[in-house]
Amino acid sequence: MSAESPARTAAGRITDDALVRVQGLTLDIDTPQGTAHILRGVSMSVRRGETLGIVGESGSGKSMTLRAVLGLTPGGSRIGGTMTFDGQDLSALKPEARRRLLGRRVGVVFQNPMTSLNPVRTIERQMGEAVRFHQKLSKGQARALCADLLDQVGIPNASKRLRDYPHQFSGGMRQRVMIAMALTCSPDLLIADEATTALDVTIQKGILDLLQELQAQRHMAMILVSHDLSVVSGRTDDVIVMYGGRIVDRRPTAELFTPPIHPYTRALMLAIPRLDMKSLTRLPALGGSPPSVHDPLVPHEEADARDMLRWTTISEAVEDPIEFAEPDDLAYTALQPDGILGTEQAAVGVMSGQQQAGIAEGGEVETSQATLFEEIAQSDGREWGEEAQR
Amino acid sequence: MSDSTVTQTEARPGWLRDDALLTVQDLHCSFKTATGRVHAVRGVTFDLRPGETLGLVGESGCGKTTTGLAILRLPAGQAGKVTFRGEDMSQYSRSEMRAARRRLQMIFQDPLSAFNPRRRVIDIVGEGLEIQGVPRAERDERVAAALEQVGMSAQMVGNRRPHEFSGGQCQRISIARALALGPDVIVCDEPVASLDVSVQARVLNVLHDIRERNELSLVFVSHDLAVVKVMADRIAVMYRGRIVEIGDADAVYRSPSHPYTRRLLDAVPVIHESERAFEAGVDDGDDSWRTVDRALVEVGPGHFAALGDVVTDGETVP
Repeated sequence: MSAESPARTAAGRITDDALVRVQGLTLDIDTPQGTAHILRGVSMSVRRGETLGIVGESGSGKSMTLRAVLGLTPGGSRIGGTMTFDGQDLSALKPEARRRLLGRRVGVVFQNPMTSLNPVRTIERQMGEAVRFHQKLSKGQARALCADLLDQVGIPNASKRLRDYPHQFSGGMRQRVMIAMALTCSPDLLIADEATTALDVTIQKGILDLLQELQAQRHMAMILVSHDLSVVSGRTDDVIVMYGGRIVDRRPTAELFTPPIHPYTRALMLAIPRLDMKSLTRLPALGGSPPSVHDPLVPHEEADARDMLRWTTISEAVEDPIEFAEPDDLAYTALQPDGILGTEQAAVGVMSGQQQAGIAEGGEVETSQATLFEEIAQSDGREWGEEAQR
Repeated sequence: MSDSTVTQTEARPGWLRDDALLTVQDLHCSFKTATGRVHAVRGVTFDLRPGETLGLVGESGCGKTTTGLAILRLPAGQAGKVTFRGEDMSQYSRSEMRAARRRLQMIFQDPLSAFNPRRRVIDIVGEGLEIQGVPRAERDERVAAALEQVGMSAQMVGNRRPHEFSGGQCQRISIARALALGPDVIVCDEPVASLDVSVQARVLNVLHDIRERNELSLVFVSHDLAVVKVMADRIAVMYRGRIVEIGDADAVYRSPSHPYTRRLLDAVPVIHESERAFEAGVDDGDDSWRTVDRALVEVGPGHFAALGDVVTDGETVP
């Protein structure tokens, strides 16, 4: 496997015609315990007409990356690296100018529509707000536009429903309203952050299908964020896997599971229940916990070794229930020492099975899940390692 | 009462087994709402063997949660017969029912809202025992044992409060709370619906552990057929308050017979399309199943689907 591998250069490539381009993005927040490195060098790009999937456990930094792009980071955060939107350097823009630019050209759909919608305002008023602010439309024009959008996202009786309040819609319908709101200014980029996580599978499918359709119709760029690989696979062009504020794997979705496969990507995938598993199957769950921003003082090398241990133990311990071509040498996208990973300069490291075993032995970790969990929790000096918060 | 209802209640349906621990027969539940009565469950019949896990699947509003709760006789406005270890619980007095609830426990989707935020873990897990009048010393012992079964140490977590734990950890605590009473049956209502996949896998494995170790029967309520696949040996698919398909999990997944079951299977997000190993049924465009109730008929050994005669909605509802 060489660095010129097309699989590597194609995925999430940093191209000149990118609509959004992020390079070496870092985000630090000072806490009483020390500086928390929330993002440790994230590089990615999306072009118009393309969909990028971002996958990772809670706390991996996927939402923070998007917040940084949108300028919605918490107060006191220090941002490094470059971010451009349609060629404009975002960090050079004043907050007001940035809001004007992104408010109009980026639509966002969050996980919980109930917290994004104002419960005491009608849908018309909430949808109309953005249009009238950004596009200077009259009330009547805004109403017609909103009704048309509700219709496009599959809400029956659209013009009548404009007068309803959020609680009068079901969970799936509310999410459709959110999508319609995100579309009001005909954005160039649509971000769906865990937009279907709380929904039933049938409703989820409807929403994902709708997003995909709208993206194609309007030739938008789309970023689909999820903790679930099965949600992004089949619906994205490229996938980025994040862990501990960094990108650990990136590739075209079609090659997501073709070897060489990163041990963490594999571990994430193995944890997903599958329809073709036997009933009463135990899933190979990732033990331990992802790195927490609460332990900012752990040296990077130590943290990296711990991460690698967590990922590989799973891949090693699992008797693969799925027929994937098993590579002799497990290659993984190398993490550069400074944590910055740009695809064009990304080195691809190859780690032999023996080397991995060495790590596992060094950590004296047995393959039993419970033991692994305890050992990692203890070695962390934490009780019952913080599992992903949700 | 229509003829079809009579056949359902009086002749024993073919999908009930002789060695069941728990049998639910012709269950109806309805609620009063501002716009009139809602019939959430309309004639549901199933059973559960010792050590068996039944997956109760369907989308929101299909009545699966109400059915799960009805096993513990929790919803008001309930009609039908729930037999547990040979006894008809519908005849139980309040105190008899309270005693029975030791044997029938429940785990909810959102454990945080099911916990008193000001109580310590040790009290939360021991609450049921306290209500049952178990003395302090024995209670502490059983709480510690229950916590250990879900991989937690009473010493480490006992004095902490719910907000100090993550979603996955809270779900372990609520599993421990259910276990502490030494139940025969635990009804799990969407226990992993709000968890990350990696945390979800761990909670599911804890459920596997406790089920095996305690020879428990589980009723596992979920909208996600993939999650149910790894948890259940038997599955009942519900739609509009009725069971539309029931049978051994492997049979139902291999040859889903009801159009709604196939729809649910189609909706599950998969990594490889090949996971959907079932043969897609011929879509004849007939979606009368959305509005018309049909009787369950045997489509394979012990495998039933609502493809029979039309059942008119003449049931008596409380």
